[in-house]
Amino acid sequence: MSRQEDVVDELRLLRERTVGITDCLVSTADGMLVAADSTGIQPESVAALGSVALGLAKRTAAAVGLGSLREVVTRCQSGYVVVYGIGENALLILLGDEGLNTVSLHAQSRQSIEQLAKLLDIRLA
Amino acid sequence: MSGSGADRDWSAFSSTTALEGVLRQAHYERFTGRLAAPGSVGVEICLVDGLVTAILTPAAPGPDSVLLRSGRVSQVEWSRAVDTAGEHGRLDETLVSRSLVHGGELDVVRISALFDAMFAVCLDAPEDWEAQPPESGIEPPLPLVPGIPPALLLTEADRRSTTLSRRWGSPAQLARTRPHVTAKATQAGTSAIERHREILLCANGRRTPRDIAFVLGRGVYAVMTDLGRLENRGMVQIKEQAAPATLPSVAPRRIEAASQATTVLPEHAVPEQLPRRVQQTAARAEGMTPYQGFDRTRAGDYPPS
Amino acid sequence: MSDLAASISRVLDGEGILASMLVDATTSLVYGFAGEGALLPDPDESTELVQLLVESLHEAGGNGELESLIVTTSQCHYLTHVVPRHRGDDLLLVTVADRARTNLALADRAMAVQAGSVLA
Repeated sequence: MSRQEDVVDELRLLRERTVGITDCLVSTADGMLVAADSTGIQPESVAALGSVALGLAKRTAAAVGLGSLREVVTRCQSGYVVVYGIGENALLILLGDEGLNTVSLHAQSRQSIEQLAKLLDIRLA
Repeated sequence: MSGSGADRDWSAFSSTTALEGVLRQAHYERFTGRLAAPGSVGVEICLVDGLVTAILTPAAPGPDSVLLRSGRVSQVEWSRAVDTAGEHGRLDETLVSRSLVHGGELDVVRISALFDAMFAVCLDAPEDWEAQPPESGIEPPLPLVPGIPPALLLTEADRRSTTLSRRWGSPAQLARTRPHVTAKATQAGTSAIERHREILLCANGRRTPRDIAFVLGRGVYAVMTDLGRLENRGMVQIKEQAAPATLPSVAPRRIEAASQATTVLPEHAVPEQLPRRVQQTAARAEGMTPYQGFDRTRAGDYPPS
Repeated sequence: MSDLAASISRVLDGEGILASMLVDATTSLVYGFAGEGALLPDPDESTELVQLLVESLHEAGGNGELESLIVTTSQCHYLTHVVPRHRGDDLLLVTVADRARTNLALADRAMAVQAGSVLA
């Protein structure tokens, strides 16, 4: 399997083992789509928006001095958009429905982020 | 005809699981608060006076999801109603007073969601439960007060599992499948009723029955029932899902069989106090529950002989 | 008494009506009933019958939605009316009437009206 396929596979595994996730994608830190396991959305647009959201959140976190940013959770009436950094160079973006449990999501995502970091040769802090 | 069934004989249950035991005790003690499953994924059963008013679980859409996703209430109208009702206000009264939903319709939606959530929780019921005070978690948006006696919810969940097993197979397995529409369904000349057409549009091989239920704003059991029918007609293929390659790190903890005796109440024994920090309410809530149990075993022959 | 329970009880106002229940046509959950419950048909069988009819009608190319179904036995009329809903799975108002005391046409008309207002 190519690395691209490995990444998509890891995204699929994350989605399948976490109740409520509907779509997953990985993008570069500046919003270029790397890989997506999604349907019915425009992953390129979501990747771009995700990077803007994370970038803004990081600057906010730095400005208020409350420690490093963990994730950005955008909560909507009918679902969630969650953005995690994969090291400094990439992002993991998840879309979920309103049944998503964010507590267990974070634990599942940590696992995937480690795996994705290996696949993408990214060093995690 | 029997009444609400609140004092139903609990020995009717074929086995006493940890969930049944803890609900029986909560009902007996007229518990007000939440039963949460710490090892499991965000499941909370809210009770007032020993009656279940809401169940929060990722496994089934709540009444708010059903109303929004089905399109009965628009996002804008909902937000406005939530704002008007305020944090501890009565959202249900606001929805009705604004003519967004009729009172009877709202009752049906809440009752339906409650039974559906209990069914979904029972498909993979956690073994560890802990009692918590009522204010310990997210406020359920549309609780049903007075609530439903836990025995009725469990009996119905049991009935649904049995019916599904008879018609299709293991409900827990069905819950893990990701059905996809078949070629036959898209052929000219093949048609389906609207309710089934909606499911066919959602069955893309990615979504589990629970996911489809969320998208459509319908119950998980209703979707599963319809999927079974669609499979019989060859319009959907229900793929068995193998266990994911990487084991989840927060899988519900399973008590070893040997220690189960300590968590399961012996039948008919007077329950011991649940360890908790909340005061018992002395009197049961006045007024009748909107839901009255219907004893199916006593229903007549149809048509009568 | 809740709105729903009150609405279902009102069905018994009709002449010769013995019992009534509000059932979910997909899950066969009984939302409420009034009167002599033992006279009501099994909810599963009621919904199964309606489902078969709806699917058969559809396949046969029938236009329109099922509104009601009447089964008459030597003793009773079983009237099933689909409750109109803005959205949401169909509900059925299933009523048993004493044949000796009921004019079927009037009862059917009355049940249609009741079905229309049971969720109000």
